[in-house]
Amino acid sequence: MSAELPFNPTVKADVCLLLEGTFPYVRGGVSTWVKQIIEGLPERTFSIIFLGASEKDMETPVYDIPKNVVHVECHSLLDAPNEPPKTQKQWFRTRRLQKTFELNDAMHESLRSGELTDETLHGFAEVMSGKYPVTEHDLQHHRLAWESIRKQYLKAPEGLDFNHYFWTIRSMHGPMFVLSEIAENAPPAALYHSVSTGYAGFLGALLKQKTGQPLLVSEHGIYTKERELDLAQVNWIPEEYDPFRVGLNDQMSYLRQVWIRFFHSLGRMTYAVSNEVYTLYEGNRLRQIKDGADESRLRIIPNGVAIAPYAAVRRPEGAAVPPVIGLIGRVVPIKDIKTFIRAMRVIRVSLPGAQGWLIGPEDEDPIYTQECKQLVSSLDLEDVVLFKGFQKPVEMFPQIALSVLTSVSEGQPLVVLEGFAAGIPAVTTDVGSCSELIFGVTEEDRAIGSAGAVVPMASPTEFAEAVLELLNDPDQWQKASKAAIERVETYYADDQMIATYRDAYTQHSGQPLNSTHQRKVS
Amino acid sequence: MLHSARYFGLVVLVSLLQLMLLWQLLSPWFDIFESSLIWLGLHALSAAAFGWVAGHWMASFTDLEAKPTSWFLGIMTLCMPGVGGISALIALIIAYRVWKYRDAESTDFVTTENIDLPFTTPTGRKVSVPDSRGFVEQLRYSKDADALYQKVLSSSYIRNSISVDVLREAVKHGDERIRLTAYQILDRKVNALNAEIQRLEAVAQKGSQNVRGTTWLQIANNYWELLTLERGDEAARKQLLKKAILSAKRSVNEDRTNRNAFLVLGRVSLAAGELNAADVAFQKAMALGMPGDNVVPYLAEVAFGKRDFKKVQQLLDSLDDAFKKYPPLKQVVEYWT
Repeated sequence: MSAELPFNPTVKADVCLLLEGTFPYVRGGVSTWVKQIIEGLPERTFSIIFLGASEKDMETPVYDIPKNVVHVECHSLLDAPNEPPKTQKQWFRTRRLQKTFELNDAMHESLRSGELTDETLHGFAEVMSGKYPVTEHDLQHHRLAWESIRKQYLKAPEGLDFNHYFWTIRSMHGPMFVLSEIAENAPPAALYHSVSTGYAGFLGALLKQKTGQPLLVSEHGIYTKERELDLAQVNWIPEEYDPFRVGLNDQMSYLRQVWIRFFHSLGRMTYAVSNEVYTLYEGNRLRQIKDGADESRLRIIPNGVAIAPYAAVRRPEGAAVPPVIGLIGRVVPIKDIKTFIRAMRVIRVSLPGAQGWLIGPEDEDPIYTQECKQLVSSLDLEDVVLFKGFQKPVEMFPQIALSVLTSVSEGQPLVVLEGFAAGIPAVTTDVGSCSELIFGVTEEDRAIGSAGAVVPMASPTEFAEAVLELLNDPDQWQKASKAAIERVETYYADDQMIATYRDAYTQHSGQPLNSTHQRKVS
Repeated sequence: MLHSARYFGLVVLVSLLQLMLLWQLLSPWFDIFESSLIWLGLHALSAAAFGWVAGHWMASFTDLEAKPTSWFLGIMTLCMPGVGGISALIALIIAYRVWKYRDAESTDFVTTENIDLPFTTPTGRKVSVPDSRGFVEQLRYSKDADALYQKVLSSSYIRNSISVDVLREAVKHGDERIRLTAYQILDRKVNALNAEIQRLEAVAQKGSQNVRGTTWLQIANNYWELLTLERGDEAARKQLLKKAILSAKRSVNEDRTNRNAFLVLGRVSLAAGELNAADVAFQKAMALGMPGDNVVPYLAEVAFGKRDFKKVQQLLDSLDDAFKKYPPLKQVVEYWT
């Protein structure tokens, strides 16, 4: 894989993609989708602004960069800047800065009260990049910043440790200054397209505010929901010590709430200024509405896959189906690989020749991977559960009978659709849109039939039973395979998805409108 | 300091020049310039010179930058001959000293209305309302997903043996936030125990015999804790029991006088269905001085497993009254004796 990325910051691209922790450095469904969009629209030029946590996340791209990508720039949100802070001891600037801090306080009050408008984002943009901006150095050293933080602290619940509060505010706002600087120097584009809310979405909002160009947002998972789940349990957020706490404390610590509200606010501000917001399925759309998105600007654009490459590897009808099930995905806790491993133990008892393949990168969470391997070893499944590492799905599908997922959270997994295109039914947990993919959404879709099975989360026995039912009944497998092929060809072909985005780009970048392909929401 | 003194000297010199020019401007008897243009030119030059030296002098002992300060003082001098620059300079020095003095003041202390421990209740603290329903029942039947979510979160603070059933029920809940939170809590607890076991195994490899004995006992206890978390998963349970027994055996091999190790060995053997081994371990624990009331209930369980019901009765009867009066043994004793 070439590490040389195109760098042309002055070239105006048709679309500037704002990517946080995905393409081209992190493998996964979202990255694959991004590459699909870029390659599916060769007539458009793309620039990419990649946001990562630190420099070491951006060492080597894991995807080839398509030819129509004219510029790639990478920024780390958490690494400390190399340049020393500029001296800001211009004493006549303080008076101007006072007004900026007052504006900042007013905007935070507006966020707190839920009254979010374009003016709120405009206000924050003014605070960070206006005529007299607050800089990171000001936040760290200026007396006015200290006073502002102190005033906000006095509104917090009694007993909150000021030290913890202060450092929370400082660390929370650090990346915002990085985003502001990126927005100041961003490459020009006719349209900005963020593939999440969060920092990338907020950057898009700043860019729209600065350039006036439209902003589109596509959400695969719901960023704020995922952050909320993470933040609820991380142990780096200090807990408040209440010596009178007895029994269960059912109130989340204030600082956790502050962090969660921060990401909610980023999401709401992004939704507020986006021209359109896209998601994959109805469940996510409802969540977006709950999170403050304007219903009139929401659209569902399901994922799509290229049918032809997978159709070429379909098993002929009547051919023997090997008792091999494949979990194609990263070896990470959210995929709940351990449930898969435990299920394989049950499957092996009923079907001695069965194998379970774990097909995906193992380097994202080495500790979890090690635990999974130890579990395999402790359950004596070394010859049953095989760690294949990263492999191309199109090469794996001819060798497996079922594509499975035991994830605790999913959006609209591309791997299931790819398996469908190859005629491979799926057994998944009931998360995300998996049940829509397997059973259908609309009446016509459901009439196609079931393309596999859906089981409850974290239930190795039920998962194993569903797998065995399909493996032991060739007729049922065949029916599921046919249903899978028909469903993916009818509703999830990539040309439909690409055409929809082509129309969206055309519409929003001010060129003549074409007809749209939009999935009806029943 | 010399640097500063040199600048100061130049400031005084140029100031005198400025004052001279001012005097020349104001006094009709002292007219050494033939043309006002020459006076203006000299004034402009001296204003620039004053601005430069005064700006650099200020920069040498304050945090002011030389360039903007020089410009400011130069322009003041140009606009107000003599007095403008000098008074601006004096004003800057006074302002600097005031600012410096302010900086030396003590930092504002933030006061909060913390309660005086330990006698008063914190004001404004939200009082939890006790709910008499069982937590698992709430998960099954309660409609308030937000409140349930908070309760599931807080269950990470309570003992595994109590929280695990709650968390396993929560993993099946319809609300994704509750499901994922419960899953993550369970996963984190298991990971923490596994990490601790790994660490202890490394310690046990290197330590002295005393250390090895207690370390293996800790490992056995951690496996026992994992058994609680893996409740319901028969395959994992068997593996964990095997490892717990192995660790407990290694502990007793390292230290034959550790009664706690024999008690743990007895308990894990009992859980694994190895009744004879459990019996031997419990007897040994008692022989080493473990109080009988701690061991007898387990011996009764062993006897029950062997279907020696008379012995069950005898053993339970021999318990101290203090143990027989309270759960969990109260109901058992009432049935058998």
